[in-house]
Amino acid sequence: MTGRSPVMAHFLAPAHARCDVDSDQWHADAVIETPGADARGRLFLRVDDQGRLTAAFAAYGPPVVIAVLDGLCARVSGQTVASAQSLMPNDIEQAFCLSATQRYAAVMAIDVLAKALSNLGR
Amino acid sequence: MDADIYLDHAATTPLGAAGRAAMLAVFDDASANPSALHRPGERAAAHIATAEQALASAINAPAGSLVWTSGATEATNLAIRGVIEFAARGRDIAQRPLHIVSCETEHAATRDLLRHLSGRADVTVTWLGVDGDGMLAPGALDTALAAGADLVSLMHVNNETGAIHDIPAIAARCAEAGVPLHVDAAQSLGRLPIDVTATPIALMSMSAHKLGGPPGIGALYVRKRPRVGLAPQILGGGQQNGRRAGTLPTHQIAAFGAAVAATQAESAAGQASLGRLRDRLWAALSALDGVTRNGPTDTRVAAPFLNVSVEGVHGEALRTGLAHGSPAVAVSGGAACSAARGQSSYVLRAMGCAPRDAAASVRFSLGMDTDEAGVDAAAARFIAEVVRLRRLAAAL
Repeated sequence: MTGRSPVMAHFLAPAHARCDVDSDQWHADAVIETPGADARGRLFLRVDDQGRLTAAFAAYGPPVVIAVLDGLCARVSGQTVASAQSLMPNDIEQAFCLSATQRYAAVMAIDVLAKALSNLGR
Repeated sequence: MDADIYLDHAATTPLGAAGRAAMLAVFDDASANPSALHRPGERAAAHIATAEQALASAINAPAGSLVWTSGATEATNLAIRGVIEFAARGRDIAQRPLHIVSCETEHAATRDLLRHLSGRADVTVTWLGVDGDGMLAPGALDTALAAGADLVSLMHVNNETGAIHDIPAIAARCAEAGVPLHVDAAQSLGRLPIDVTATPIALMSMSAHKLGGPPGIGALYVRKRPRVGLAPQILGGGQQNGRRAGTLPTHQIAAFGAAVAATQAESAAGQASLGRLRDRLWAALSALDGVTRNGPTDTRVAAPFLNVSVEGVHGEALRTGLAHGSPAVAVSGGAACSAARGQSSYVLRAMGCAPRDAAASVRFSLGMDTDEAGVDAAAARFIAEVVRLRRLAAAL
């Protein structure tokens, strides 16, 4: 990933795509859509015995949406639910150096995370 | 070029050897003002005369009928604004508005200009529609001309799909109606034969960087007889007989002329070869499900063009993946101008494409440096990227 922007690195080589993650045992998921950007995302979560999360995603949309969802999965995997709940759009914006026109992707990511975490308890 | 496979020649071709050599020769020999009367100036003027002869020869234009511009966009502005402003001089406001006829699929250089001009109280624009192949609807031009027109402006080859308008037939109808025809030949110069003496074209915009010349130089052909009234758009200095002021960029003009001459030498055989490569590329891409070809598929498409839409992938993701993955493939989604604005292609939408299909489109445009290995590698890379993006979306 050397020399590439975070967005480009995650877009070109996502490590947490649902199709590539070795598990079908997901405990919760949630879907998010942003018609204005013609983007859709789905986040999958699993919690292990120690209360640590594993996340994966599926996405259709511009590179920034795919990249940010992959980055979100990397960020929350191995974390506790409480830690994941503390994430804010600004954390994603800064981590990915998002421009003003890309910030919607950070909001998408945090919204779908919040929904998926909420679904974990159901 | 920072791409392993460059298939974006409709946007800009790499500077060719002939153009580069001509440009360097000017730097070494004639970096003087070509309007100056001293010997260095005369040498610069000689380079320009050579280039003018090459371009005039390529389109069979008489001497003194070319105006050098910064590119086809400026040439188009000079043609359309020039004709309208000239016609508007001393015109009675009670007369019918000046009427320009154009097409929905024109390049933004024409489209945006006409949209701007249509804001004037004394200008009205008729936009001709196209069919699913991007061809003018039969009879539409005749209907528009029957209403009385002051200018018709149409492109020769569409910059997104490669669809060829039948300019000789269009020019004949315009001539019968006594209406000057402006042709945007940015994508056809060097690719298709154009004879402005045999074809009654009044004005024609041309560009160097689509055929191996440098960006920043173009030309407008202006018919000498019957004379076309043209108001200059850049004033000061009186260069080019007052039609376009400004010191001439000798190195760029010389490179344009050399590139045109080189293209003429290889044109017919080269275009046939590009057509075969384009068909080879399409044969490979069409093996993938959900890929459709936009525009005509017969002799009405210029050889270097292949425009496809892809189901199940986001257009920006596909083009970015192609451009930044490995091997990197340089293509465009419609016009580079549309991509810069983040819009889906208005050309494809005018042809009836759904907005999502128009957005998920890729324009491959081949050039003289394209070979079978490059086409095969581009096809393999395209298919791999589509499969990758579809997999990412599969669990939605």
